[in-house]
Amino acid sequence: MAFNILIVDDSRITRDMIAKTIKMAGVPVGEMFRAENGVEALEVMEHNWVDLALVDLNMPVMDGVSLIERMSADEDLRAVPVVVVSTEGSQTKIERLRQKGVKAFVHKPFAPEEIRDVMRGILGDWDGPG
Amino acid sequence: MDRDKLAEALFDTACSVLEEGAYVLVDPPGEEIQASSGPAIAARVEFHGHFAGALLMEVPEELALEMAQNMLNEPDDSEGAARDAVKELLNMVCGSLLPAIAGTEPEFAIGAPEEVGRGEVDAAALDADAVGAELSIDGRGVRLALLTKEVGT
Repeated sequence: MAFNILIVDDSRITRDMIAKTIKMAGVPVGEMFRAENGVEALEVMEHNWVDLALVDLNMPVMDGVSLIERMSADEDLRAVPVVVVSTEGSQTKIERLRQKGVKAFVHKPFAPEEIRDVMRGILGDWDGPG
Repeated sequence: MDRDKLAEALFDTACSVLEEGAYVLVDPPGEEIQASSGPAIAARVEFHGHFAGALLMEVPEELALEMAQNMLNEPDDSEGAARDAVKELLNMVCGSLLPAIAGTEPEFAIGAPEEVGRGEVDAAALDADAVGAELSIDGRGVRLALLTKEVGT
């Protein structure tokens, strides 16, 4: 089974790092979508099925919190698991995001295995290098 | 937090983030830093919340390119990648520094890092409220300046 993954971050280098990490983890990827902000992410999800979204918080145009709120209010999008990948350090804010349905939180800078392990926890094990 | 502790937090956080995020090794304190007049990339990020301020970082361009390549694990000698790497690493330093200073309960809003002219770190460091730090990576200096307003002691 191949997964459609959406990476939402305004930093190209971070999008590329996450994509590379996912590839190295052996995740069977169908489509890898990338978006620079929440608006672009919503456009991607309007036209494509996404199995997992990795979302930054601090982004221009539409930030990650607004994107997460829009997704949780949408009948179809609320089913898409969201992992926040962010520099956010406030446990208060992180807990609030968990209550909005965020599945996991990865703090930047992250070790590649953190992304891998979080994805395994959400998507289930796949036949890849561990 | 007093200025010495702020400076220590800034130095320690920057070391940790650059080592973990850019896969570089920071030289032990006391190592000589080469004077650099070559090109450098500098960026600034502003934050507000529990307290407000700005964090600036300047990285020699050659080092920034290496960091970008490390982060991408592939050769990419584009200036764009180096600039993006500096801004994103600054973002990470800021995100790790604020809870180190204020604890993990207070909330902050961190703006989008922006590239600024070389020399702005120097200018910021002259501010009476500024705290500075300089790291050495293979003898090349990475300089940071933290400007804050009303940090509790």
